[in-house]
Amino acid sequence: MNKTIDIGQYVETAINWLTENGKPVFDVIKHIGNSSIMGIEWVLVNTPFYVIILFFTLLALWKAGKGVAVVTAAGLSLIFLMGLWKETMETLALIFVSTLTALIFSIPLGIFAAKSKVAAKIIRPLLDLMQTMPAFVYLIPAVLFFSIGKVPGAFATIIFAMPPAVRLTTLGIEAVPKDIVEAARAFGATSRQILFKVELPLAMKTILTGINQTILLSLSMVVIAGMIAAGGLGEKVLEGINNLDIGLGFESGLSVVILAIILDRITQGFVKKKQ
Amino acid sequence: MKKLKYLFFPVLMMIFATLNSCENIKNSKYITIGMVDGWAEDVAMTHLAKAILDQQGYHVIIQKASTDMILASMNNEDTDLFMGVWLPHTHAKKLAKFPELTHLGTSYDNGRIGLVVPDYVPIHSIEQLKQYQDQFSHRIIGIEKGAGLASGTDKAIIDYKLDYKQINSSTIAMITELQNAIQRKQWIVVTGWQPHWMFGKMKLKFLDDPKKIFGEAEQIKTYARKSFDKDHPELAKFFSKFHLDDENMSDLLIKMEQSKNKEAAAKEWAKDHSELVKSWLDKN
Repeated sequence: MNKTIDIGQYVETAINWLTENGKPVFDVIKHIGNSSIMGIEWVLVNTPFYVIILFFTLLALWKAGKGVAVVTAAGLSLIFLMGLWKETMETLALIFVSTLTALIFSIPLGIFAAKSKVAAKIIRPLLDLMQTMPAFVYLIPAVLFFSIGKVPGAFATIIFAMPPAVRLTTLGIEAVPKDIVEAARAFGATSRQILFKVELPLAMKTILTGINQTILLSLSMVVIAGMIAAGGLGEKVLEGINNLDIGLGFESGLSVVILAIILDRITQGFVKKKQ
Repeated sequence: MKKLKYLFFPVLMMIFATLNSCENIKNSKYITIGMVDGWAEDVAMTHLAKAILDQQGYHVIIQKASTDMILASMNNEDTDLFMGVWLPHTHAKKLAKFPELTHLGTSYDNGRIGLVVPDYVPIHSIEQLKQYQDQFSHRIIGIEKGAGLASGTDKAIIDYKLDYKQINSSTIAMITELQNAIQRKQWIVVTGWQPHWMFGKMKLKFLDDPKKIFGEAEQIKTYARKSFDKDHPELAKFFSKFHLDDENMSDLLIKMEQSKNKEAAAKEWAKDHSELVKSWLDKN
């Protein structure tokens, strides 16, 4: 196969240029990212496990009912008894920071796309690209920019997990009935007031669904991030795979599933409460 | 009150950021070593080095990733060391991309890569693969696509004019495939390397390589980031002396393979070979 068009070459040149010239910026990001992930990790690992289990159980009880609370307590206890507590907390810290960062970018982008036709035209194909480009591809620039460790893991996770939050924010705001917005405007509300007092509250349920999807997608990136020394459960899963250790692979995989179920049900609970 | 709740985490992050930036990681006792999980000899040597240095009061952090990623990370001055560079052949191309990395020492001399068959397969050279391509169903079971060994095998297929396809997946899939074939006494040819525990677990042999596609003996070397020897002269010395002969290497690999807990196995091995370890730590 001969190459007639060499797109990759341009991408490579661009990435290399960024790596060369963006070092100070990346170093700052790396530092902030590392300290926030490490900080949250430190808190989660050093808090006694029963406090964390209790916290999540109460949160589940408050937002998602008795059944979920029981599942949460049982699931987290099982993780602890399997001896994967530390790794699970590392993963939780990574997900927390990635999700938070993804939301800081994606919700304004979603609002922007809902408000402006031009922005929507640009943002939509970008989202398609971010969601469908095989996640492994992000690992290459992530490592060139941030070396191996937790930050590139978070970087790849953020790119992968942002789109649903953007899409659903846009959807939620677009679905706000036009007559309500008109009525607000007739009462003399400014655009800003309309956004914060009318559109966002009415779109909240959809936005929360987007947040829920973002959290679950970041969980699915955990194993892939484990390939670049991001630690946590992903690394344990890979260790199981690389050493033909079926038991370890299954246990760490199971922990990912438990974490996913708990986070999903609790965030779903937030959505349901909004109804 | 509600507002305060939202402020809590950013403030927390700030506090940690300041705490973290107070210590300079580069000159501290924290050492990061990149490691390719699944490469038995790299895993064994990295854990051994960790066991010894942890005893000396360092904090060794093992970062698991693939070869190229570790090299890129060292090039960024973020990972300190990598103990699994195979030269002059396997990783020459990969290393050429990162000219700034420094060579600390050689940890093993008799590495070998090439094509491997179970010992009951009655052939001894790569050239004979041509006659028996049907028995091998035209397949060479390879490891990860992009590995030095995989590109060497592609070259061998061309140079020896073999009508074979290299099937690339992962190291562990290759070993699983090999184990299954041996259980059924089937013919199979895989890409392999020594030192590796699979040679201890199964009866295998390398096929002769008259065209020297896979080179002669490979050395396993330790490389470090650019200014590592300035930051840690005493460690640079240690890694320049870190060396295992065949007997020690195969003993270490088998001990690591048998044990569930790699860190404990490495500590144990270091204790049993205290003379050798002492000679590595010798300051002169």
